[in-house]
Amino acid sequence: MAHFQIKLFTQQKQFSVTDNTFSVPGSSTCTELNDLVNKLLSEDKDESTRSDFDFLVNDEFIRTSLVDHVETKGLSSESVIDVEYLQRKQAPELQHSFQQPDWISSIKTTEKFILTGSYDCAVTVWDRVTTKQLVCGIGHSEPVKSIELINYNADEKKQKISFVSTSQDQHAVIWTYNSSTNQLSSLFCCKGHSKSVECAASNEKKSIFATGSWDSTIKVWSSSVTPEEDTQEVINSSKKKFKSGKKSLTRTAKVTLPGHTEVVSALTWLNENEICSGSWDHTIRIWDIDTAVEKSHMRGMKSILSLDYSHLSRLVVTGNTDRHVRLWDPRSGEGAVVKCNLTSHIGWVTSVHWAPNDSHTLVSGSLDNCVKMWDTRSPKAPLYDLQAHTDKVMSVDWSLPDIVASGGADCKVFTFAVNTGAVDNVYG
Amino acid sequence: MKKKRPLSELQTSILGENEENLFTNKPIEEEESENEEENEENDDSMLGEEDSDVEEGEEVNEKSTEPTQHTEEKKETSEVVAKINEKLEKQTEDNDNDTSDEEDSRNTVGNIPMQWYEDFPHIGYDLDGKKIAKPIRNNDELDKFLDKMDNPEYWKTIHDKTTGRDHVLTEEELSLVNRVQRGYFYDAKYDPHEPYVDFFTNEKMLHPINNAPAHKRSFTPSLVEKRKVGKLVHAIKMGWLKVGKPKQDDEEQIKFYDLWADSHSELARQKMHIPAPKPALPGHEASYNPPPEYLPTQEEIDQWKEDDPEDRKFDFIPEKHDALRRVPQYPKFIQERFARCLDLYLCPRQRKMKFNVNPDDLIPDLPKPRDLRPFPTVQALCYRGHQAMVRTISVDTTGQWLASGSDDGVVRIWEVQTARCVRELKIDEKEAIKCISWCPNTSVCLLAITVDTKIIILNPYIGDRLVAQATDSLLQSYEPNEEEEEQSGSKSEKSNSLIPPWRSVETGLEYQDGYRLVITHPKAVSKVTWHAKGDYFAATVPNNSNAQVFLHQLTKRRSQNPFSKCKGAVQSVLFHPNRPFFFVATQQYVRVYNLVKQQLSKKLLSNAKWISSIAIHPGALYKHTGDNLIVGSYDCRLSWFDMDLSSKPYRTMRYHKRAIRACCFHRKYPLFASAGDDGSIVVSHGMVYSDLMQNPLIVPVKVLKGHKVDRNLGVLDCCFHPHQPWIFSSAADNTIRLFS
Repeated sequence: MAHFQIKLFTQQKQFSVTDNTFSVPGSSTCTELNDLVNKLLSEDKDESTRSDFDFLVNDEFIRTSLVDHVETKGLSSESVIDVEYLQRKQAPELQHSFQQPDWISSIKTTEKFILTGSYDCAVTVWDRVTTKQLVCGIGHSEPVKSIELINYNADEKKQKISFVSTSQDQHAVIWTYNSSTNQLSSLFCCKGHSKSVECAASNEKKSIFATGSWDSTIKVWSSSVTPEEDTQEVINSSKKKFKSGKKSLTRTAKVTLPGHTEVVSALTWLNENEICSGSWDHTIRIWDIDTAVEKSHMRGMKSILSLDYSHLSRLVVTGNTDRHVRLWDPRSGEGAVVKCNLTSHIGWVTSVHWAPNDSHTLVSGSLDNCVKMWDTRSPKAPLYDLQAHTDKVMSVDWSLPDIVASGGADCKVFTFAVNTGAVDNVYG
Repeated sequence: MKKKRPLSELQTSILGENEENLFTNKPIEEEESENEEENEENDDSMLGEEDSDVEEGEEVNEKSTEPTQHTEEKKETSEVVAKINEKLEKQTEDNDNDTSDEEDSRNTVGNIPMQWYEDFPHIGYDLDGKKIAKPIRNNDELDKFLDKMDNPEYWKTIHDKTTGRDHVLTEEELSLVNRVQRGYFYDAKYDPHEPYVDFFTNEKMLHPINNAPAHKRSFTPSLVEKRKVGKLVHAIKMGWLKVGKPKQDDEEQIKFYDLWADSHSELARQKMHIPAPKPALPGHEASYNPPPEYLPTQEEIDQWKEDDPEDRKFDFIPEKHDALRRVPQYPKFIQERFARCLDLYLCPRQRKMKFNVNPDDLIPDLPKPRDLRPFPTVQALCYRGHQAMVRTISVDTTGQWLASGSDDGVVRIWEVQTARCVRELKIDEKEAIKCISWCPNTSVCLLAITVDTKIIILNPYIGDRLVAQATDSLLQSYEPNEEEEEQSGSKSEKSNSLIPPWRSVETGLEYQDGYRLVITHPKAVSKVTWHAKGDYFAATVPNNSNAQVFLHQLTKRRSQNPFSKCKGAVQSVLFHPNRPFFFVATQQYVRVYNLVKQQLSKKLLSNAKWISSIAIHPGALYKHTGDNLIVGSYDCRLSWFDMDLSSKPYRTMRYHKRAIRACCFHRKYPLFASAGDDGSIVVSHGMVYSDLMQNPLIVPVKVLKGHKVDRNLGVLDCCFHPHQPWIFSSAADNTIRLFS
C-alpha cells in the first residue's frame, strides 16, 4: 500500500499541531488520522482529553480511505497533501417529541416557542422548554401548508410574536401571539391567491413577506401588524369558519409576480429586495421586488419542493422530487448548473434548511421518514441521520443555531439539540 | 628396356594423335609444339609418366592389334617412330637450357604467391614431389637494361613467376593479346556478323524445304480402321445397329430448363428424403431377465398404473422370466406397431429452410432510454387508506388532486404532493366504484363517478373555491327548456326505457357530500369518459342489448343513445380531443364514428381477442399530428394505431405477461403506459412527429414494479400526472402509487 505525505493544519487554534509532514499509509481512514492528531495533541499539552476530528482534503471530507479519496479527487499521490482537520460536529441529540392530532405540514422555532401548522387547519404554539401546547388557533378552513415568522420580538420583553400561516383555503393569515396573556389572535387575512397557498417567506427586516401558490403566482404582502390604509374590514363571508371569534381584516397583496407556469412551492429571500422562488416547473427564479420583474432564472431537471438560502455560503439549497439535495449559486445567473448534489435520501426531499450559523451545514427532511444533517463538503454521505419519524417528514427547521425541529405525517414534532460549541469557536 | 618401352608406346600414341590431327581443322602448330614439348618433358622425367602408362598402353594394344593384319604398315610406323626419336634426342640436346611453359605447368605448388619460394633454391615440386630447381639467372638492373637495349624481343618477353623463367610471346599469342585488349573475340576466325540464313520463314513457299516423298503409310488405308468399319458394317447388316436420320427435333427445339421439374421427379423426392427417426433401442429394462434394480416394486407398479401414459418412464412394466421360452407374447405389439406407423405417416418430415440471420440485426436500432428522459423511474409515494381494491383513479387538470374509487364504494380524494387523503365519500355500501373521472374543463370542478347503474356528478369543493362556487351556480342556473321537454316527453313515451333520467340534487345530506346530479341507467355502467371541453360525457353500459353507449350533455341535461344498434359488446368509448370523432371499442374492433356526419368513418382491427382499454394520443390538441391510438387488451397486447397509416396496428407490443387493464397517454411528455395484471406498469416513449412522413418512434423505457398481485389481479388503473412526468397506478393491493 502506498504511503502519502500529508501535512496537517487546522483553523481551530486550540487544536493546532506542529507543522510537520507525516507519512501515512494510504489505507488509513478517519480513525487512524484521528489517532495521529490526538497523539500529537497529547504530546503537546499532556492532556488526556480526546476529541474527534474530521479531515478535509480539497474541501471535501475523507469518508473512505485516504487512497480512495485521493484517487477520486484526482490528486497527485507524489506531492504533499494538505489535510485540514476540524473538530467533529457532535451528533444532535433528540430533545423532545410531542404529538399533534394531525399531520404537521410546517414548523418554526423561536427562542421560546415552537409554532406548527397542521392538516387539521390549526396553527399551534408550543412552549419550547416544557413542550406544552400553549394555544391552538384555527383561522383556516383547509389544511395549513406553511408557517413563517414575521416578528418574534415585537416588544422588549419578547412576549409577543407574530407569524403568518398559509393554507389550502387560498388565504394567508397573520397571527399575533401574546405570551403574557396566552392569547392567539388572527389579525389579517391575506386574500388574493386563487388556489392553495403553499409557502411563505419573510424578509430579514420582517417588513414584508411573500407567498407562493398553486395558481403559480407569487404575492408580496406587508407584514405590519397594524392596519394599513389599504386593508379593509372583512366582509362576513358565507362560510363562517373563523372560529377565533375575532373579526380579522382583509389584506391585499402589494405585488404580484406571475411567471412560473406551475405551483410555486418554495420561496426564500436573497436580500432585502430579491426573492428566490422554486416551482414545479423545474425552475428557480430570482425576482426583484422593487421593480416586480424576474431578474434571472435557473432551470433544473426536477420539480422543486423546498428551497433555502444561506447568507453565509451564499448558496441556494433545493429539495427536489427526487432523492438529491442540490446546491445552486444564484449569482451565476442564467444557465447556472447545479453546484453540488447531496445524495443519500431515498425519497423526495420535502424540506431543506441551512444552519443559521454555519456556511457548510444544512438539514433536510424527506419522504423516506428521515431527517439528515449535511455538510456540503461531504456530498456522498450525510453528517448524521436523525431517524425519529415513522412517516413522511414534511418540514424541518433550523432557524436557531441550537435546535433542529422537524414535523411530519406521523403527527409528531421532534426537536434535536445541536451542540454549537465547537462551531462557535470557529465562526463565532 | 623398362625405360624404353613406355617411351616408344607413348610416341606411337602421340603419332596416332598427330595422324588424327592431320584430319581435323584445328590449328596444328600449337599442338605440334606441345607434343614436342611433352616429349621433351618425358625425357626429363620419365618416371613421372608411369601413372599414365597404363591407359596409353591399352590404346597402344588396340592399335597394335590392328596392324597385325598389315605388317608392312607397322614396319613403316616403326621407322617413323625411330626417326622422330632421333629428332627428339637432338632437340633435347640442343635445347637443354631452353625451357618451355608446358614443363612449368608441372609445378604443383598451385596458385600461390611465388615470393614464398624466394628464399629457397627450388621453385616448387613436380608431379613426383621432386623439387624444381630455380633457374640460375642474375636479375640486376644493369642486366635488365642491357637486355632491354640489346634484345630486340625484350618487349615481348614476359617473366613467368611460377617457373622463374622468361617467356617470349609468339606471334599467335601476341595477336591473341591484341584482340583481347581491343575487346575482340579471341578467335580471329569467328565472324559474329555472319549473314543470317532464314531457312524456315513464315511465308508459305511454293516448294517444300524437304523434298522427301510422303511415306507409304500416309496413303495406304489403315487395316485397323478397316476392321472396325467391317464390324460396324456387319452390325448394320445384322440389324444390330440402326442407321437413320439423326433426330432433328432435339437440335432445333430450344431446351427450356424446367424449374419445377425436379420437385415432382423421383430424384427430387429421393433428394429430399429424410429418414424416419429411429425408435429407441431397448435397454436393460426390456430384457426378459432384467437386472433386479430394473424390476419395479409394488408401489412403483401402482404408481405406474396411476400415472398418465405420457408421464410414464416406460410403456411397460419390466418383468422377469426364467427362460426366454417362457416369455409370453407381447400384448401391445400390434398397438405399438400401429402407433409407430401412424407416427411415420402423420408426422411431416420436411427440410426446414434455415435463415442465417444475426439475432442482433433483428433488434431495431432504438435510442437508449436514458436519452429519452424524463420518464417515471422510481416509486415516490404510496397512497394508503382504501380498504378494498382500487379500481379506478383520476387526476384533476391542475395536478393537485387525485380521485380514486375502490370496490367497497368509497371515493377518496388525495393531495398528490403529500399522499394525504383530503376527502372520503362513502358512495355506496355494496357496489364497487367502477370508474371515476374529473371533468377536464378547468373552469368547473366536477367529478363523474359510476357506481352500479348510476353516474354521479359530484362537486368535491376542492381546489379553487371560486371555481367550485361557479360550478354550483352553473348547475343551479339550469332551466329546463319546456319545448324540448315536451319533445323529449313525447319521445320518451316511445323509448322511455332507453333514455336514462337525470336527477338533480338540490338539498340534503347528499348535497353536502357534493352530489349534484345523478343519472340512472337501465343497467350497470362500466365507464364514463368526458369530452375534452367538459360538456359532454359518454357512458358505457355493457349488457344493455342495443343501448350500450349513452352520450350525456351536462349543460342541457340531455342524454341520447347515439347508436340504434350496437355490434358486439362495447368495452370502452372515447372522445377525440378536438374533432367530432367518437371511438367505440368492442371486443375486437375499434370503430370510429363521425358525430357530425353521424356515420362510421373507420374501423380498426386490433387483432386482439378482448380489448380492455383505449387511449388517444393528445398530440392532436397541441400539434397538427395525425391521430394515434393505443389499445390494450386482455391477451397481453398493446397495439399502437396510426390512423393515417392503416386500420391495422402500426406496432403491437407484448411486454406484459398477463392481461392489460389500462393504458394511458401523457398530455405533455411523449410518454404512454400500460398496466396489467402482472403488477407491472410499462412506460414507453412514444414520440409522434408533425411530419406525416415520419412514423412514430416507440421505445419502451421502464417497467415499474411495486404493486403486489392479489387474487390474480395486479394494477387496475393508471394515469399520468397532467404536467409532471409522473404516473399514478392503482392496484388490487388497495394502494395507489406514484412513480416519479
